[in-house]
Amino acid sequence: MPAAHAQPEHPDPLTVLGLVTPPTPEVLAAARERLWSAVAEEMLAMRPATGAEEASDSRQLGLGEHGREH
Amino acid sequence: METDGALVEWSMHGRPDAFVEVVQRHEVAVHGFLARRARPDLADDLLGEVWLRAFAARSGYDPAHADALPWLYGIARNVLREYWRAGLHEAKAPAPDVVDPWDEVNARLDSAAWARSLAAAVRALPASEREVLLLVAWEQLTPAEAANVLGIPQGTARSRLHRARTALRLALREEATCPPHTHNLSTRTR
Repeated sequence: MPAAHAQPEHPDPLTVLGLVTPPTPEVLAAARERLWSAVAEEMLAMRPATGAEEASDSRQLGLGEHGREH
Repeated sequence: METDGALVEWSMHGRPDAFVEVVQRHEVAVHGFLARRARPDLADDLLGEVWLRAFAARSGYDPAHADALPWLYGIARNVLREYWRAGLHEAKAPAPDVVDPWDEVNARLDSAAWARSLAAAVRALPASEREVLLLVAWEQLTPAEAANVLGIPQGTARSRLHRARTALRLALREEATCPPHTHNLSTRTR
C-alpha cells in the first residue's frame, strides 16, 4: 500500500473522536498578545515602585537625585 | 529546563514575563482542550481569555506542581463553563443544560458515521463521568491529574472513570452495527 494511503493507527476510538485541527501560529500569537498586554501592564506598575526604592536607597546613602553626592 | 512551577514563581517575584514561557509550552494543548469541547473558532476566541485568567490567578498555583497543564485545563474548563452559562452561544445551541457543550461536540462528530454510535454512548453518560473519561482519553491525563483539573478526590475520579468505561462498553455491546474496533476503549491508568 502506498504511504499516502496508509491510515494512522488509533487504538483508542475515543482518542479519534477527540482529534482536532491544530491552531495556526497566528491564532496562538493573537492569544499570547493578550497575555503580553497584562504582563506589560504589571511590569509598568512595578517600575515606579522600583524607582522609588532606588530613590530611597540613594537618599539613605546621601546621594542626590542623579545618584551623585552634591 | 526550568519547571512550570519555577517559572510561575518567578513571574510572581519581579519577572511577570516568565509566565509567557509557561503559556508557550502548553498553548497547543489548551487550544485542543477548548476545540474538542466547542467549535474551533470559539477555541481561537477563548484561548486569550484563558491566559488572562491564568495570569491573574497564578498566585494560587502551587509551584510544587512541576507541570502546569492540569491547572491550565481547569482554568480553560471554567472559561468554557462561564461562556455557556452566559448564553453567549445562544444562536448556536438552545441546550437545556447550558454548562454542557456536548451538543456542539456532537455536531462536529456527526459527519463520521462510525463515530455516531460511540458519540451517542458518550453523550448518554452523566456529565460528571463524561468529563473524567474525556480528560483521560482526549487530554491523555492520568485519573489523578483529571481529579486535579476537576477539583475532586482522586478516588472519585477513578470510580467515575470506571463507571464511564463500563457504561460505554455495555452501550457499545448492544450496538449491533458498531464496528469491532470501537470496543477498544483503553486509556492510560498510571
